[in-house]
Amino acid sequence: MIEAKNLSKSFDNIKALDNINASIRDGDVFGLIGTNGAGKSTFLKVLAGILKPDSGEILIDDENVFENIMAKEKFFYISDDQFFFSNTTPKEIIKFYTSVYRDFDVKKCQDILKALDLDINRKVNTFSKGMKKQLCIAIGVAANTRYLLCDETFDGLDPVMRQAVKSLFAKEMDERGLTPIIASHNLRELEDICDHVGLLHKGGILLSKDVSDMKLNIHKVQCVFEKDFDMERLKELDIMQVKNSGRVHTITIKGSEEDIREKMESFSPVFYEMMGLSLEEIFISETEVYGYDIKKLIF
Amino acid sequence: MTSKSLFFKLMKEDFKTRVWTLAISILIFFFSLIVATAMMISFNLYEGSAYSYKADLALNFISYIDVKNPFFGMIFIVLALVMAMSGFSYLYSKKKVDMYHSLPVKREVLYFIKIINGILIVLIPFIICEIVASLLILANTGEIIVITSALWSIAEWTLLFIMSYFLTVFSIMLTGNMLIGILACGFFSFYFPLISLVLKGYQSTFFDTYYTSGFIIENVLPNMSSFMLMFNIFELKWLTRIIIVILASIVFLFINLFLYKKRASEAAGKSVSFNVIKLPIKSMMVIFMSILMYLLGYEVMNDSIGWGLFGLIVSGVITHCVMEIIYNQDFKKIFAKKIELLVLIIISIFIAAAFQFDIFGYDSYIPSASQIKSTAVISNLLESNSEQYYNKVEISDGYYNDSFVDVDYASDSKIEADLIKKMDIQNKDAVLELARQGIEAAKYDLELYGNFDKVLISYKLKNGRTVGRVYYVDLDQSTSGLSSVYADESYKKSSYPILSENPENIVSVDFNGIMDNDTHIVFHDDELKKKFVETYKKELMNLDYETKLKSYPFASIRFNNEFMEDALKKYAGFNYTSDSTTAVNSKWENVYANSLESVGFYPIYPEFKETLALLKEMDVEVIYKFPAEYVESIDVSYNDWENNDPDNNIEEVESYSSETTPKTFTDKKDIEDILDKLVICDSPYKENLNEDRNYAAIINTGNLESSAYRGYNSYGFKKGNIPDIIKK
Repeated sequence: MIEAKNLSKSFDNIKALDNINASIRDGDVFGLIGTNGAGKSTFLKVLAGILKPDSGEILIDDENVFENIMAKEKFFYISDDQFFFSNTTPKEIIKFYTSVYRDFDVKKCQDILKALDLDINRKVNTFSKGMKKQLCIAIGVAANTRYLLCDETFDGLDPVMRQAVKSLFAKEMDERGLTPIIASHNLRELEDICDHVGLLHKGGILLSKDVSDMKLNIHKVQCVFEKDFDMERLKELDIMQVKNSGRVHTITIKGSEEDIREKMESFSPVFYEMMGLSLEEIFISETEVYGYDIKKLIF
Repeated sequence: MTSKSLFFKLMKEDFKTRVWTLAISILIFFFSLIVATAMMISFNLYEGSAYSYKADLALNFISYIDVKNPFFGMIFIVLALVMAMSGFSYLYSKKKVDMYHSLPVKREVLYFIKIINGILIVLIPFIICEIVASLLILANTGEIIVITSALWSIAEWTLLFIMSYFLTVFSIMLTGNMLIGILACGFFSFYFPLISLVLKGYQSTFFDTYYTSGFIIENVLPNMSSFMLMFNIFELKWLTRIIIVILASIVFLFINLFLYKKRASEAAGKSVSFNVIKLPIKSMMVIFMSILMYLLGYEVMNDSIGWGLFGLIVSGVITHCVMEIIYNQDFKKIFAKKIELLVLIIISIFIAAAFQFDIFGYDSYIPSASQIKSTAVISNLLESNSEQYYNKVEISDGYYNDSFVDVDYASDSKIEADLIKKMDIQNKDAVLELARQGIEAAKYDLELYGNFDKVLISYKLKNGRTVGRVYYVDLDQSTSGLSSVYADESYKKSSYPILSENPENIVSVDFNGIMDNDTHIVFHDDELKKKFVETYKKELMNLDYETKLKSYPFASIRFNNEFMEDALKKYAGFNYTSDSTTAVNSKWENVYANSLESVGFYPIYPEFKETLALLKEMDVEVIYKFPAEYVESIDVSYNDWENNDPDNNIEEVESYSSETTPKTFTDKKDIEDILDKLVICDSPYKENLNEDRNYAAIINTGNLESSAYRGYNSYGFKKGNIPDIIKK
């Protein structure tokens, strides 16, 4: 388990992380969302032991990470712009990481690269941005660490490849309990992969919640009522948003699915249907509670 | 995986990324050692076809690989920079730092991997190439010494390279990008030697009594640079230099490790990696440039304080602006931190003023007698032939079993330094009085026609410091002080090494006097030798200043030990053939007495009566005065110094040019009168103390062989001892 306690980090006069508290459970996919400059990369770098926090601490299994080899052996960090030695090939890079990570699985790495159609003997400097990302992911997964820290890793991957990577993560999580921690400024990238999402803004965590909890507590209903239906009765529901299109109403409601269905039945609508909410919609609703316009923060 | 195997695996991986530096290293040493040696062998084979070239080739090779060769110094400096940059330049890139510092590898492991690889990449090719080169020489010369010299050279260059490499890494640790890193290397290579030069420049320009700048400015600051140390270190003794280099390397190895561990990863890309050093470095640069430009402005513009201040302020502002641009990597920050700029300019002005107006009283410094342990006084007014006792004879082997005898001339600074070290004058009151007279004299311009000279006074203080001052004193005003100093036993013993010499070490003497009556006497009687040496020592020790003022050494004598006797034998054998001896005496060895004349001659005054009597006993023909019968005429010229004040010179009259047309004396009686009072110091020990600078005489002889008496040498008269015939 990873825990950040009162974590702060400044660069000259700029506060990049401001008293952050967060915990990341093992086996979950943790998504770190935020705009550019929100502090996502800084958080990951502190977590990776690259940066030393000004105050507070970050612990992996109750061990401080900075300059702690035992803790550092538990994760692999993929930066948003990973460095590769000049003029090297994936084969040589694998050799390098094999000497650093004791559980590095060379065969797994080669298999993944083969599956991704990357030539292990080709010079890395001839790879495209997306191919380099794929190479990083392959190495990161093959390092067989418990945590995989990904900074904007999905940025630059095409949808098919993104899906393939997600499947790869899912497989690794299933087989050996990998915990990916993924920082991104794009909510849609993380939508179908994250179990838990932390929203960073101006160096602080605005919210940190399980996606399933959020999804269980917020629903969207599309419905058509009788002409003489008293719309005032809708106040019996915890309505967050109502959109009307002719007689069709799309209502975002807080509460459990059971309670909402019961109420809707009692309204005797002509038609109603419970609809799934996207992560984006959930965030819009959640952050509005804090008085933020999520569209300005993320999209 | 054990940490040991991780270390070596990572070393191997790091080595792969730096393989290009290995290529550079191999190329450099292949050409500079193996190819150069092969060329040396070919060249010597060709040149040496007429004689045995082997020893010469071996010597050439030994001198080529020696630590004194600046060519290799440059090579190792360049390689130190390449290795430091290739190993640690990742600290300049955020991307690379992120990768390296996220790895489960301790920073000290990474540090030592980079350090060790950098050393091995240079040293392995160097050692292999040097051994191959020395084997090539060994095969061609059979001189086994080339192998031992090569091993010694490998050891010394290895240590010097490591020190230089660590100092370059130090610059990288303090900086955040490559350009600033290279500038930092330059800063640490040249700042301290340059600041020492500037401070010396200030002292010599603004202090009238400046002698030396003290141990820190003279010895420490110039060597606080790997660059300078690389080229100067051989001046130290081998053990000292090895200890210095090893200590410096160890210190910087751990300072660098400390900085590396303390260095924040986010420093990559910034100009300086530790904010705390920004102000000190900027202050050092601004103050250095300001005071440098003050001095230049002042000197170039004819001692103009206004131009000096202009230079100081302009260069201070520009340097500050440049430093702020570099620190912030933003041109818009050119005028940032104006208060700091103002403070630094004020400090610079204060430093310049402290020297210009001698705020701390450098020129007026006199320690109290209670602070002084002992003193040293060095002046031509006391002894003007000190070099005779410091010039060293050297014998070296040459071709065909011959020997070269040469003289290693001592520099004034070396003589002064040694005399200061040896001399312990206890008559503090006399020395302090002399100093007071010097300080007083410094307040006024020296009179052109005065009989003044430099007097160096060095105080050995009880607190362990040695402080030196140079004064210009007038002989007439300082006679009593000089006389007291000259009477001091320590002064005499340190000035004249013969006074501490055991007569048993002496094997011969050389007498050199007027008219080339030079005689070489080898002692066969120990009693006579002891008596003669002790007599001379007694009379020299008893020689007082007043005698020096009124009398003069008409002859010189040298006391030779076995080495000197051997050197003279070899020197005379090498320089003269049996039919070209210049000795008037028929004895062949007499040529020794006018050989190597710059070494070891002591004065003989007419007052050394016992010495002269003994010389006569030893059959030495002593001529006290120049014989009038050899003289055809004497030309005497007069210099009117007093009426030739250069301040009042009009353009068409040059200063020092008031010499009158010489008056020629041909009458025998006139000649005898003049010769009676003429100071003739023609032997190696020469002294013109207390001579009247208004008169100069030239002796013209008829057919004497010696050129000295055929109108080439100018002689003078002692003050107050001018023949009446000339005064008329």
